[in-house]
Amino acid sequence: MSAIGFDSCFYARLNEFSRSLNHVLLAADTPTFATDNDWRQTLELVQTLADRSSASLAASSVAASLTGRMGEKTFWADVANALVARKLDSAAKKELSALAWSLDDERTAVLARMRHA
Amino acid sequence: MLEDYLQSAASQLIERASGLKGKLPRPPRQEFERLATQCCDGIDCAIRELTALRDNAAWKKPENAPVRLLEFRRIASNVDRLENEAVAPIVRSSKDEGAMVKLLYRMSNEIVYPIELPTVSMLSQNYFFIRTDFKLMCIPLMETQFLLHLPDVYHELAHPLFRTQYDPRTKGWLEAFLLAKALIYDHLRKQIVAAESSRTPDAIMLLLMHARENWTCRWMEEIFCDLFGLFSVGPAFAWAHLHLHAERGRTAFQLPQRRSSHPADAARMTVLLDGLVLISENRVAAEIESRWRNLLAVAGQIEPADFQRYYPDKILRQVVEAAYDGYCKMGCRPWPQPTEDNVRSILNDAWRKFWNSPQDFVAWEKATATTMFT
Repeated sequence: MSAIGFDSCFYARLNEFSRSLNHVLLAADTPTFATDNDWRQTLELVQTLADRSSASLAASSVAASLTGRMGEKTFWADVANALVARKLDSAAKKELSALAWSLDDERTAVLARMRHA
Repeated sequence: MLEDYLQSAASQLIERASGLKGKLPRPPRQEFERLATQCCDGIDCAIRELTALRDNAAWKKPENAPVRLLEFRRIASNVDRLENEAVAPIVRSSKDEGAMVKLLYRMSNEIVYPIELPTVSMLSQNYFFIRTDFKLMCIPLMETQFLLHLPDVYHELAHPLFRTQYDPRTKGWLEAFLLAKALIYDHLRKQIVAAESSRTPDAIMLLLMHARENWTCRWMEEIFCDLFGLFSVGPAFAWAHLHLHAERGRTAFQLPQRRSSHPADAARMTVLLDGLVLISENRVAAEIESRWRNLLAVAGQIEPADFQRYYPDKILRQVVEAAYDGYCKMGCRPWPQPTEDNVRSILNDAWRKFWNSPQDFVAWEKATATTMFT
């Protein structure tokens, strides 16, 4: 009956989104690094950050956890467009890189919560 | 710097991950077969990723250094979890896991549990919990010798139901869950709109926002797990909740906080009492409520004036009805329908004995637990 049950599931979601985002960042130079699933998952997260609505429980819970860190930013819609086109300019890469570090930070926090629950 | 660091650090982590496989018991233990397989797959994946990270030319480009470090941290964290949360419980297991697994099978047969059972570890350091990604239920070491907390096993069995996808076995349950979430979300949305258009203090507005986030992210799952437990094992589950609160509960009327994992214990008890009435256990519901009120009075706990704002009784009753409908639609067998086995009867007998024969209870519980786990 502790929070660990939820956090272990949440960790798995963070892990999936982190892996995909890292691959997408790398694919800016080496396209073969990201699979279609990596692009799709990253787009799903960014779209959820953009309009706060998602059919996916995983994306909405991860986006909700980032609210405090990422703030209410308006540029996620532009980043989402870049992801749809699979062409990341320097501005999109910068925002996605910040997002990747935020996911890393949240994952570290979840691990700490699970160990000290 | 990073290139030098990762050449050694990734190589060492590969060695560590590979070494974990060598720690798994030989011959394999049947009760850990699924988890051990999952560990080996996870280790293989981590080693593949680490090897690419260390050796692939694309990762080595200087401009990719930040994302390379991020990826290393992610993989290291996964290996760390495999070691501490999955392989260690297998390596340090004893015969107690086997006894608990047998009981879990009996419990699941009795209620017609709809999906595959989790693996069990008796090394919990934090009451009962389940790691849903490893499908590993962790139970305190001594629980095979006692009965009063065992109803909470049914609560933990409910968590994996929410992680299923595209599964007709759990469809009815998940539909009921979504309906219940929509009910509470709608209630809180109206509360927030009303608060925005009136002179409601900021503090209450903040509590409403926390309540909405908590109910939709976490609380409803916990309430549904409680109700799964109640419908599975009957009054013993509500007694176990009272017991847990008496032993280690926080403020029963805790107001919503940011990212709270569980709803207030008082609201959980309200739901359980409603559930008991729904399954026609009115007499024992009244008895539990009376003892619960006494417990709160002893601890000097009083319901805050605005508690209902975040935990509305009327909506909670609808939640109970939705959960019961979902439970039955999964084909589970609710208490008190008769079954071929007697695990849930024993767990209810234990609570009757606890209250009615305090002098004999400890000896009776010891003998009964020994028989049940043999």
